[in-house]
Amino acid sequence: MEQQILEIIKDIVQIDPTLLGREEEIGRIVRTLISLKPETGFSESFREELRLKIFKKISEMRSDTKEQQSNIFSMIRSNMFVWKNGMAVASIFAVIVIVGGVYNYTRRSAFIPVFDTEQKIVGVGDESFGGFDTGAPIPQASQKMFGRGGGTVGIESMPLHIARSVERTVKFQYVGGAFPAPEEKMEVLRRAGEKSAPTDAFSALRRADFGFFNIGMFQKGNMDSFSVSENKEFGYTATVNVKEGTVAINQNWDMWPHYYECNTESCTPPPHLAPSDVPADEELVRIANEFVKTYDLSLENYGTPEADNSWKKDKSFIADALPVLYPLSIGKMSVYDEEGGKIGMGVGVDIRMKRVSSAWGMHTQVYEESLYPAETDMHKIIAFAERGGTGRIYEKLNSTGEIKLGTPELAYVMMTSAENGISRELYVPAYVFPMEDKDGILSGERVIVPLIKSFLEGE
Amino acid sequence: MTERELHAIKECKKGNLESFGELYELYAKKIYDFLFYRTYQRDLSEDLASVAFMKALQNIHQFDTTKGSFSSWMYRIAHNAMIDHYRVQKPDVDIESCFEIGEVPLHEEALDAKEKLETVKEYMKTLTPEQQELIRLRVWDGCSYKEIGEIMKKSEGSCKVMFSRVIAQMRKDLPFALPVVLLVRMYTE
Repeated sequence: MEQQILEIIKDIVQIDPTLLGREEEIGRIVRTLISLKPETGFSESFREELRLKIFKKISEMRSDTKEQQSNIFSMIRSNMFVWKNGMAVASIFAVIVIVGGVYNYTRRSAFIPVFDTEQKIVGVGDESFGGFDTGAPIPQASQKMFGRGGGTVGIESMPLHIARSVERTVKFQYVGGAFPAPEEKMEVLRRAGEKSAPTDAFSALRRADFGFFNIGMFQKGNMDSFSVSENKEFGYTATVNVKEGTVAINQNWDMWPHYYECNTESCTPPPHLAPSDVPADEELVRIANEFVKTYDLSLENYGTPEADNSWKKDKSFIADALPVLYPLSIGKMSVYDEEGGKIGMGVGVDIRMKRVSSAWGMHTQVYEESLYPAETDMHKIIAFAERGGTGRIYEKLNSTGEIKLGTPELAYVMMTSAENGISRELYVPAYVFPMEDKDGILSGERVIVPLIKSFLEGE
Repeated sequence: MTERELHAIKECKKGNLESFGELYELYAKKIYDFLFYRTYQRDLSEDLASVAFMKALQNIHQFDTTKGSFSSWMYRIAHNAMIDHYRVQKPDVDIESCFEIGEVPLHEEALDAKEKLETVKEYMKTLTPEQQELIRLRVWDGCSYKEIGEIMKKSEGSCKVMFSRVIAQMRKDLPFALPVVLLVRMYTE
């Protein structure tokens, strides 16, 4: 409190030097204002109740397919509500069985395949994904059609933001060895949506008899997305977005113990987790691996799992679930986010229950590939790296010093762009520079330099 | 923005929405307090805090770490939830500028707070609603000038200058009010 008062006084005197010598008087005013601060009566039971609501909401959001579902499935679901519970469960079971190849044990059986886990890269024309706006979003009036060759249809705008004017107090210095200059043109990948899967899934579903509703009468039907739940203790809900080719698994909230539910006066909310509660990395990975095996998740394009140790940097709060990451590779290249963290399939391990509570980042691996002019000037690349790269790394308060950058690795950086309201993932070739002795100074993992020319132009 | 916040935001954007729980832990009390300082109603503050966190959860994927701090984004959401609430409850009041203490309708449970705050109102009556909000953000919510700037959509520098002027004005105009306020405060507690 006293520190806050001193800071306030210091700021005021700095702004208005005529108040120099009046610090005590200003302090009295500030103390009075602080003393008038009302007691808010914040209750810990409210904190826990809302926490519970938030986690329920997360669960709902994973299974809520309202925006993405086709009319067909919405109708089926709404009809299910009027059926007796037993019928609803039976229908869900029917969907699980019918939509073979999507989930669990049915993958290898004789059901209709919907998703393919094999990685495929399909070439399209040069610069088919439009221009990359690396500053402010393109104003409406200046938007234009991009694209040439026989690729996909050009898009109108693609705002990708790189924080250009970051004022840094930390210096970066390249100390690594020689590394190859990029080719004149390099491939940018864009994850392709599923073209045939929604139709395939629908053709499987139309065989089901829903009694008073003949789904077979729907013409050119697509199944956009659906969710299925396990009605057993510690069961899960899987949300499958057929159109986007993604699967997310979350705990079925109703079937898990409500650890935080504390509605009575006598109830004491559970204590927060302590560092000693966190199992060793090997144990976290073991739990994750067991889940992956049980639910037959494909690891075809993912590497060796790693437990996320970022909680060790701030031990004041430990999340209930800690992620284990199975890093994605495309071709033989690793994939990073803009802060230099690895990307892949995440499996959240609930520390209290010693069970997996969620899994995310699973998607089909079909990419479109389009060539873009790349930056071949090594001086420019190193200069960009020495300015902190894409800028998505942050200096901790009052940090100074020099960070050494090692020899980079050629990898992909995943960037998200919005195309006509639909979020699309782009994988841009980049040099990824490791940082030495960054702990305590920076929050990012690695310095990223995208190699596509338009990202570096204007720098 | 702390490393913990950044990490949690990043995880949420990747799809690990459970990481929102970390952000919630950091901001649950701050947001509730923020709302209470402006409504003086516990139930309402709890309801609005729930609305604010749900909105934040649903929109966390849109939050851009390069455009401002998470704290100011969260405070803006809470502020907007409160505005929306009063817009429905009391459409005739100019809610956008309704930062003045006691301007919002007070319920029975807030009467005690209101009584005490009459003194504050007296003390701060020469200030504009904007200046009062500045004091609340800086002194009660403990926000930095950078956060205040982002919340009030002003520059950090102008917030500093405004706050300094407010204090200077209080020192000049109300030299005798201070002891009175303190006495009343001591007496009522």
